[in-house]
Amino acid sequence: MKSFLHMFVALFHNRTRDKMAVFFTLFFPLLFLIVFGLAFGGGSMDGSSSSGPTRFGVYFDENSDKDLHDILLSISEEYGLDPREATSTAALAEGVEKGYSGIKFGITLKQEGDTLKIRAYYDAGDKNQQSLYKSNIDTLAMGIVKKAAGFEDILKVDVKDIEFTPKKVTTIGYMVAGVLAISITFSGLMALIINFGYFRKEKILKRFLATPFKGSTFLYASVLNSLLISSASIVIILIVAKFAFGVDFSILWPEMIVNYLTSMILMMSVGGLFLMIFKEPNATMNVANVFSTLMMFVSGVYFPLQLMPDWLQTVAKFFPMTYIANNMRYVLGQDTMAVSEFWTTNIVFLAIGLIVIPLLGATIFKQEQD
Amino acid sequence: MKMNLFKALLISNIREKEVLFWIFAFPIILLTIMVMIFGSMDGQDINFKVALIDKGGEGMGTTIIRDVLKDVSTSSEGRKALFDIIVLDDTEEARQMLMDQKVSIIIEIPEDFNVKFNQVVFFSRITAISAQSPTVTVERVALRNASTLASDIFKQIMSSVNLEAAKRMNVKISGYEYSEETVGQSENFSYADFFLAGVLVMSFFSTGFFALGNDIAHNKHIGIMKRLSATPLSIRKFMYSNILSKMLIMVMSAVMLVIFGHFVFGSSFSILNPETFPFILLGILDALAFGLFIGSISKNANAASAIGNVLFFPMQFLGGLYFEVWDISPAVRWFVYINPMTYIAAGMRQGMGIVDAPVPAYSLYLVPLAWAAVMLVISIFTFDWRGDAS
Repeated sequence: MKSFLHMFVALFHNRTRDKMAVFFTLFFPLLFLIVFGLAFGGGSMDGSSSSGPTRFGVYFDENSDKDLHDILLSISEEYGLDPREATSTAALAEGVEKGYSGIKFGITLKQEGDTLKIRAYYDAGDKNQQSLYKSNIDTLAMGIVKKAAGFEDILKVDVKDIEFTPKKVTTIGYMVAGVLAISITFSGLMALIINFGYFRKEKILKRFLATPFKGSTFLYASVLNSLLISSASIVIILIVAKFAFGVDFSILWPEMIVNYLTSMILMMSVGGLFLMIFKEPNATMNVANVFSTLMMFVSGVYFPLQLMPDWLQTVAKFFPMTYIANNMRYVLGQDTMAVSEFWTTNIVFLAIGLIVIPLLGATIFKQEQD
Repeated sequence: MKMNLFKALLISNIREKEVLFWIFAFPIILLTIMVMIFGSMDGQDINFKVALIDKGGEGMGTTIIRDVLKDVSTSSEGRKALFDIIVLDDTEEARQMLMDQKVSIIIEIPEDFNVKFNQVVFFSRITAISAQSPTVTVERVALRNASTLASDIFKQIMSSVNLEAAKRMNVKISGYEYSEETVGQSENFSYADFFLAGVLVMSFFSTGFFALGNDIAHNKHIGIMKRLSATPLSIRKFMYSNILSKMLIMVMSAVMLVIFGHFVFGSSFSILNPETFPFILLGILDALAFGLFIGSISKNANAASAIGNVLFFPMQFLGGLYFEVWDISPAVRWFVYINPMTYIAAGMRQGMGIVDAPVPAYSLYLVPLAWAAVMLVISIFTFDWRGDAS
């Protein structure tokens, strides 16, 4: 126990004195939170949700009667849209292209006999949202022609927003869970690559094995070290999210701790597996970076999985970050999930870690002894 | 002499595995990831799991709804079914499934649906007595994107059902004609071209920030420049050769990326348009200027790397390299507008005929040029080849 403590303290000092390691472990995830939080989390520092009506530009042809104008205004709100009138078609096109007044798309409306002519204007830079906007315009067009005919919908839809979480969830709160998942994934992946890969490369492990210390002491002291240091990053992110962005978490602490430990252990074992395969620490680090980048985009953190093609959804199922992000939203009280699923994923994470990490230690020490 | 030094530095850089990976391989990997993800997000495969609680019994109203739901839950040629419907009897069970993320929304047809439907369709229209409309309830979780999308899509489907019903009831409804125009681009938008420009800018700046910046800081720190000063080789020549070698690496990486993009993802060669060329030059100039700045103000490679990362991360994500940022949240829009990467990427895409930049043309040149000038002036005043010894 004493030797374990000494080893733990030595590794702790080694890691905390490395300014780069401290920067990447503690402050880089924070930078991530600030950039993405401000950019996509509603832009406010109060944690309010960014979801409001979608603004669009509209130009009414000069021959259009006032009814068309009134109908559009009255039904837009019903469909979650907010029209902004343009003075000409050219102004509308320019507004769409330059995003004036925050408009996302534009339409011109022209009544020709019995036909309503709608011309939609989309911004080339917003290509991936175009199908969503087209569907908004379709709904709007149907609403206009029905209203103009004085026809009231026979079949109505009543949409109810259900909240399962104990406190109101905001966009930024939802995003913080994703940022934490990314932070755990990155630091977990890098942990053993740094401790084992570079120590092996610099022959520190070899020298260490010549001492009475056991390999397992080094291994578990390294694991505990990484768990402790990365937890500081999680705490910093949570504090900044709470005080700078006003996120009101309702954290399930026991589940949070379990989820953090098992996720870190899993990611450490994935990093360890990479190290076993690629051996050279720089090469392993590069592979781990590419893997993390890929996971970041295909794990439902930024884009809903349902929008992705089937094959990518299948790929996402094999990425740990998908589950880590989901679990993290649950433990922070930002979303709900099946409790059984939460515990199953955690047990699987732990099981993988408990098999791979000792195996990695044994393999590396054996290689060093040989 | 200068050429020999340049060649030596170039070869030494290219032999470094890190350089090979981050400057040559990573941009190609990133382009592949981006094009594969965004290029295939066309909504064709979109599918939602939906819980249906049908308490409506038999009648015309429920038959219409069931037919509609059957239609959207059946896959057609080349298109996946929009909804996978799970029929449930119990509201609590459906709520539990929504809570557990097993379904995106719950659709509930209430018991009185047919009664109300008949009242509205038959009696109220004949007797002019107003009646309550039959209402389908949709329950969703607003912050789950999939849940919001699924409910919006269902609302749209119901809107078209209502339109069809109106026509069948001989209500005089005008038709509508739809046409569309995409502003600010050429006819053939391609994600491969869009991301090619962004990844190219990323590649230039990562060479400047990390290869040049770290190199200069490292050389100062370990005293290479000090040792050079004792040789006939001037430090100025060494710096020129170093900068020139990084420039050539940027060009080589760009050529590889363009060829890869073209042959693997079918991106065009519009990056070679004469209109794009000034922005390639500006990208290289700014990347080098930032690299010099980072190298000049950093004491060692670690510090350079940390400064580089702090600058590079927000600059690339808020520089429109991977998605449009012009109308981003006002809290960070100022950063977008002062960020040289924004203008270089936008200018490149405009030159390629993909997306027109929503800012005056002169600003596309002026902002990156101003940054290059500022960075170079600061570098000149702060650079000290003696490193720590100074």
